[in-house]
Amino acid sequence: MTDQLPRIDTRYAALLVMDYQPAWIQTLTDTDVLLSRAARVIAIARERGTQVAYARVAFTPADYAAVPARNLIFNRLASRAGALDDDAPATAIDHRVAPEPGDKVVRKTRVGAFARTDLDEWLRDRTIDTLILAGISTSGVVLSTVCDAADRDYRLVVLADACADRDPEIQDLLMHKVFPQRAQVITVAQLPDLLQTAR
Amino acid sequence: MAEQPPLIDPRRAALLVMDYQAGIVDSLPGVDALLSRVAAAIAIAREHEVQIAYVRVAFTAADYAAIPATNRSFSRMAGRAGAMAADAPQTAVHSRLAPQAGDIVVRKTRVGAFATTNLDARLRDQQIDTLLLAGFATSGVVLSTVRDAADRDYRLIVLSDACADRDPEVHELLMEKVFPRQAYVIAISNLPELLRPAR
Repeated sequence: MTDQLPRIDTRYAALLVMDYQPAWIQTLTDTDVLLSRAARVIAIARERGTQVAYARVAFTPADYAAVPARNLIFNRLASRAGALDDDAPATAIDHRVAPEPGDKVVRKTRVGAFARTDLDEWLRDRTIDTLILAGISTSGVVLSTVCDAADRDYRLVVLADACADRDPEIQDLLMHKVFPQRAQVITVAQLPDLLQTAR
Repeated sequence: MAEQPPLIDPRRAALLVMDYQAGIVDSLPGVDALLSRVAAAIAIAREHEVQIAYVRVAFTAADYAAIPATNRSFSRMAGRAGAMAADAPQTAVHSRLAPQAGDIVVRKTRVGAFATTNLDARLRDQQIDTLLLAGFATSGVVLSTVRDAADRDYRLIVLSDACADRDPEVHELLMEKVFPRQAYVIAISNLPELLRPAR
């Protein structure tokens, strides 16, 4: 991350807040600090006029049935029947980072934010080419979305301290060695200076 | 992962051999041993009549021109125009692993094997739902393909010793902690016993 930090034109950027749901938050420690940082990022984005988009994992009964057993990660999840139901409290977006009118919210049934959602189309309709990423977990939704979004030609900015993983070793390695191949990795504190509002 | 890998029906499986191109791997330390292992994996797959699919990265002039500055990995590469030209010998599948009649060969212009190719459609046309993965680099094409293929509901088996990365620590951590959530990670030597036709 020795490169110069990018300027982000707020008109063409979106903040993606991914899987900030009790189902995943409860797997972590120190979540109050994480949630307050995420809330701060959202406040910064709103203040600068950057679009905020949310992704959340949740299943209808038909969605569960449509996951084949060979999908390893969801086969394991599906064994905990009901845990990720669309109307379960565990799948609601945490109230501390709640969406507001005008935000985009996509419900997904796989790991990445683009898989089987209309997020890509929605972003392109708004000529958004830069994504600022926050999510739980780093080795789950963040990793899949970074890989996919990079190949979709988005400029990517990962907010290291607005992403979290149960395994600190994985968090560290992804942020320092894997994501930098495809994204700029910065901290929440660095974001305000990079957001440039067009005059 | 404690989980045993499942038996693999060879008729429903494909071995993906990804980015094994002279221009990419020839400068690697230990490349001879690596290529020998990949050749062994290909020989096992052929013996069991598993479909082989090669993925190579290479660009035409129009492909280079179509890479936007927002794409971090590839906009850097566009500066070295010609290095990965589609018709350069350096971008052909490595001569030691050469494709044979009946193999699938796709050319891509991004990181993952599915982005910018018709590989998914070609595999589905043959009712293939299980992928055996071999590729360089582990944190490049292998990682992006694992993340994407998992969300496309393929059963995934990563052949750990048929993949490599310039950074051994990254290779090891991905194999031990990241891939096992979505894939079975096995050694090439474990492959023959798993390949059994369904009755």
